[in-house]
Amino acid sequence: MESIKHLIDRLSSPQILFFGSLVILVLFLVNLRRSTSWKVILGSFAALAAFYAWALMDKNFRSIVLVPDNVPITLLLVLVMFFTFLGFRKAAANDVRIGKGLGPAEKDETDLRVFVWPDLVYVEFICLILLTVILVAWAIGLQAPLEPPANPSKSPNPSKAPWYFLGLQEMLVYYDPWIAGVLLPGMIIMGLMALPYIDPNPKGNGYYTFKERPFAISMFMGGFLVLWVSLIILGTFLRGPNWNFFGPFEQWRIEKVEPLLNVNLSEYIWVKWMGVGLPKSILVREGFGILGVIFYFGALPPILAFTAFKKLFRQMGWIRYNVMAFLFLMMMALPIKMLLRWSFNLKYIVYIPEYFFNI
Amino acid sequence: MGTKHVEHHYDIPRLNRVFAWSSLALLVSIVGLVWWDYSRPWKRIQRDFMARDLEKTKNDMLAAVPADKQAELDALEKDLAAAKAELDSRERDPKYAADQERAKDAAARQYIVDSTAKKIKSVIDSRRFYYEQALKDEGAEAAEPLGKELHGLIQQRNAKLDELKVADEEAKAANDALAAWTKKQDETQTKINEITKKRDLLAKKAKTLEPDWINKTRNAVILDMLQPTVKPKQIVTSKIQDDWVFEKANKVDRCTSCHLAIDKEGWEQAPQPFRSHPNLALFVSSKSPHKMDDVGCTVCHQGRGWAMDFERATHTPDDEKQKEEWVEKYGWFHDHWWDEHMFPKTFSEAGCYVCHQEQLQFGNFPRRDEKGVMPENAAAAAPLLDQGIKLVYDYGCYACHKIGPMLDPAGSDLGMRDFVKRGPDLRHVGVKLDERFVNKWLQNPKHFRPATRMPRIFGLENHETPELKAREQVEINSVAYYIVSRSTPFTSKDPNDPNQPEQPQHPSGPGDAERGKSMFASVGCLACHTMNGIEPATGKEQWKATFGPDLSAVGSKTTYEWIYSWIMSPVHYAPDTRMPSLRLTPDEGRDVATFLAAQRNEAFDKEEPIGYDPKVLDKVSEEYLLTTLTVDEASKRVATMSTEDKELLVGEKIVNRYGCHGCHWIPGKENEKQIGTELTEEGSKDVERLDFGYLKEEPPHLEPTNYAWFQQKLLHPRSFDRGRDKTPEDLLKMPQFDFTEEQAKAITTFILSLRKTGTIPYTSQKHLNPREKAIEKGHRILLKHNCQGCHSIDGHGGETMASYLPPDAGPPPIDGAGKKIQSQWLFTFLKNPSKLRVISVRMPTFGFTDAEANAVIQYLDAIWNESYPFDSSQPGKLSPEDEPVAKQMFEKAKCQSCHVTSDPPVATDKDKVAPNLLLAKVRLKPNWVNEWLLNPQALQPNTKMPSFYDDTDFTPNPSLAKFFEPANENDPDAIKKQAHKQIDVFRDYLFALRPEDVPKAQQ
Repeated sequence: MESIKHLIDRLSSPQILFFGSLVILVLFLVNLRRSTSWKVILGSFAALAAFYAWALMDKNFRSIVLVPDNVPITLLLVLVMFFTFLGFRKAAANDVRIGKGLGPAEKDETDLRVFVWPDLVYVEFICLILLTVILVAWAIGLQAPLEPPANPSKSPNPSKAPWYFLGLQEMLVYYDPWIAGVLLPGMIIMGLMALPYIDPNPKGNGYYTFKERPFAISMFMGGFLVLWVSLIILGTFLRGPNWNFFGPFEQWRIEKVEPLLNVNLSEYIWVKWMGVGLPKSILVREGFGILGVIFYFGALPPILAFTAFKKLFRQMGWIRYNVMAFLFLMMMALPIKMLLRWSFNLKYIVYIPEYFFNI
Repeated sequence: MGTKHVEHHYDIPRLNRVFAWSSLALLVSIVGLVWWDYSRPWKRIQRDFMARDLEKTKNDMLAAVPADKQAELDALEKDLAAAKAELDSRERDPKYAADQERAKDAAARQYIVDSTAKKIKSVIDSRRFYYEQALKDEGAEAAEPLGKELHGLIQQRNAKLDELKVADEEAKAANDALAAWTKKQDETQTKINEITKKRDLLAKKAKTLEPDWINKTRNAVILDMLQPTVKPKQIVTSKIQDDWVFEKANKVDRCTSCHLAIDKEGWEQAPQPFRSHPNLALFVSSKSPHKMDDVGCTVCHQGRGWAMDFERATHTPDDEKQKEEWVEKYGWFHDHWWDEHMFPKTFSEAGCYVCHQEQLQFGNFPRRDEKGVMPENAAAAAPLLDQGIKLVYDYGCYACHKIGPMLDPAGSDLGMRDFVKRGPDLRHVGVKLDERFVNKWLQNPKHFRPATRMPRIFGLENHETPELKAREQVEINSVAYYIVSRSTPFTSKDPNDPNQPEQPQHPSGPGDAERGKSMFASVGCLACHTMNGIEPATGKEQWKATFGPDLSAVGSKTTYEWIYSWIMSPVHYAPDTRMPSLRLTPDEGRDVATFLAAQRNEAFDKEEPIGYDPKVLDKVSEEYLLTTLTVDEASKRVATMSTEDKELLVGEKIVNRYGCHGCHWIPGKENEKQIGTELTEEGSKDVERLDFGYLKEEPPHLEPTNYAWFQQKLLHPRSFDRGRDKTPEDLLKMPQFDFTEEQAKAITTFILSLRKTGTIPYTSQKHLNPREKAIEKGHRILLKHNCQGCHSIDGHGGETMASYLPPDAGPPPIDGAGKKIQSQWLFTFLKNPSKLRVISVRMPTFGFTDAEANAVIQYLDAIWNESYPFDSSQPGKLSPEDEPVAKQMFEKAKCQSCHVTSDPPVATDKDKVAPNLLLAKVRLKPNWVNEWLLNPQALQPNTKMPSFYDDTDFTPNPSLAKFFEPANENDPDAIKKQAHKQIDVFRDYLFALRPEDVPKAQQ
């Protein structure tokens, strides 16, 4: 048992969890029909329950997972799984029907009419009552602790954002606050607002489908499940004191130290590869990084337009395509930086501390 | 559009059922919510207390009327019944009825007139405003009508007031007439009320406690929002504050919501939380100096004052057993959301120091009140804290750790700077010790001298690997060499220094050990030092002095010559030593030194000092050199250095590392800083900032609390290195003091008490008044010079006294010294003690500064509330006719058989243990002499001085009787007067006594 726990602890690292969830998502989407079968759905929930039942016997696991603040994150995991399965199961069934030319299942119902009362309002009312019951039970069952007055000279360790911002906080490991805390969240909101204008495709309106718009759904699910939900779960359960990464069975020891060996791109190029010192001029020193960023946002969209996104470019037109490509690249900036950090210990692509400008 | 209407999408009857069930669930959850909110533990506790209080009140009611008053009460009640019956029988009497009617009418009339007058008055006030307004705005003429109206109203009112006077008189007369009828009844009732006053009050109280339907309704669920009897009780005090980080607010403590009888007497045996505070005289009660409403609870006890639940208030269990009990009973847990957990009971005294930083001790000294009277309950308020402070002082914790209040108490000039160096002066240690001894001593000081306070530095648990052991061997040798070789000769002082002590004295040959031994045993050495085989008996048990070192094997440590020079003049070797001079003659000095030098520990002498591997010395030297040199330079330097140079290098580093200079004067290290963690606010330090290492998970499984950490640190200072991988320089360095668990608890109490004082306004802290300050200064001098080794004060100290027989031959108790001794004489005596009596023990010369000597005198005067430095008490003038009588008394009382009467004492004064009477006039305060002659035993219980008067009826001792006219039998105070007259005359005689007047007959 202990050796399995040690193995799990050893395997728990941001990179494995991040790419693991990415791989699971890809596998899930690639064979939707099978991955939304009852066998897989029930098997997934059973596996989760079994893991919890076994893991809760561990003192360290219990001490984190059973904290009143953290219990709802487990519920979040269950709910996200449930709704993902639900949506995609319906989508998979619809895709089969559409393939047969039957149209989505929802189409059968669209022409039916019922009264608002009782069919709508009654059900909403019952929902309201049940949710109130849940909230009351939750309030009694998982009580918030009585904490000391806030003290700026003594912040808790780890200092964690509210659960819904833990994804953002995870980004802070890789980017400076002005990017991770301002630019990227701003882009998320802007992007969501722009979505209806970028994507006027009426397919999928009012019914579940995957095959009719695989790119849009994959992108969204990748952003939501991998870049948001999994980072929340990771941030809740696996980030401990000093924002160090802890395995689920590891004790959160404040003494734990992880080596910080991160190196900037300019140091890689000038010092490590060319063997000369860093140039004095900021522009020369950071030239490669700046060029890289310009290339990423300036040259990649047209290149992609003629290669990978050829079809999209044709469908969307020049303006929509460029907005979409910019948002897409923005989103991909996080996993790319993660990858660079994990594989090359890369700290900053552009490092200009003189003007507090680091990318 | 081909829409199609269907009746229902859902199965409505099924939805109805779902609705019903979910509504039921909602109801249950809401009821649960309300009930959960209502059924708080403190309410149950309050109800429990009310039941107990009711029972107690009822019991008290039974005893509220004293038994001797019961008969009177019965009689009165009978009278009352009789009076009532009589009044009832008069009911038909037309006169009585008329009087009743008259009183009723008069009252009605009075009411009507009075209310009319009041009504008019209110109209007048309003009209006056309009009139004044009109006068201002419209002029006198236009305002005329308003003025007239006002005057009319005023007249009306005056008429009514006259009418009221008449009505009042009538009402009074009518009531008097009525009262005449009920007079008997009313008077009896008043008498009954007088007797049952206490019972009636208790009955009233019982009514509020009774769980009747009214109280039950008031406390019912939801209805209890109106006016419940069960409610949170809180103390809000402006004298102490709560720190809300951004803001300070008045302290709010709700502890009394459950600790309902904390300030009441009579609940001492009740189970918690209903028990009275154990020390109501000093705390909590409204008569105590720490009133609950002024200071609250958590300023002393810590904890979360506004919490209402047992575990949220952060009650802290005292031991494992209690913890298990609480976990089971209350679901107790360590609440890590709160920093300042309540002190466990053991450490509850740690709350005192946060306000009382100007005081060093709370109980080890006399605690006389402002009038100089010893209070009846003079027990120490904080014995454990006292012990902790004493230990911190004795062991010199402040040598390494800065402890703000101890060295520099806020706002006072009572600093303990005098105390800084606890260990011996090592500046000239080369003449005292050799390297061989230092080497053996450093390995483990307790091996040579079990009672030494010098802690063990080497050979502790974090140096157990062979490498570290080898390294320590090098360190010990290097330090020994460093210390001895850096010491300077005696005469190296600046000859221009006016304070230059006398030159070292050399013995002119050996002395007599036997004479030395008896000298050592009797001259006073044992007040500070111990010596195997010579133990002073205190009457109860063997007593060992711990102030100075145990001298049992001092001959194995140093030489005859050094001992001689040291005891002849300690300040010469160590200018700030606390060892005083006993003014030994050279002969006495040789005897004592010979005796001491012969005290050897043969086994220790034979032991060889520890050696070391020179390669390790090279390695360690190189390591230290690397801090300033490159690798090449360092290895080259090491190759060229002599062994001595390397030892000096390493020795100095180790002296710096372990902070030897904190306790010892070491040449070149005079201005080094303390090496330890500052402890000034250590009690407020976050537990997270204490490095527990692996001792929470591994044995001894420490609790995550600061007191557990402090105790572990004190008992096993290096244990936090267990399981750690550190460089030799990073290893923990606190030495092993071998404290007992009790001592560790005491010191921990003191450390816990070192807290941030920010929440206690300056005016709420204890600040000493001039008297208290004088006493505090005196305490510090007493502590510094171990005065209580010889002298007892109000029963504190003076353990050596009992080994002298008769008691008068020993050091005297200094009880009442402030009342007894004249300041000027005492000043001279303290600076330069002179021989008062013919006894073997000597008052040493301490080398007091003027300031210190004055502080001692001020202290003694302050305790006994004497005026300092002078007072106006004067002896009377001896009249020529009384002189022969006094002289006769002097002879008859045989004063000279005990008292010395020549200055200085002469050979014939041998064995006279009582003080020189010739000095009485300069030495004693006249008033004290009166008290003393009247009853010496009362002032000094074991004195040999006889009482000449019976202490109750003042009957003179037969030998002194009849010097004056026989007592006037008609005056009951005659004998007393006669005794006082005799004493006055005798005192005046003493104060006039000159050497040539001393009668020679008895000498």
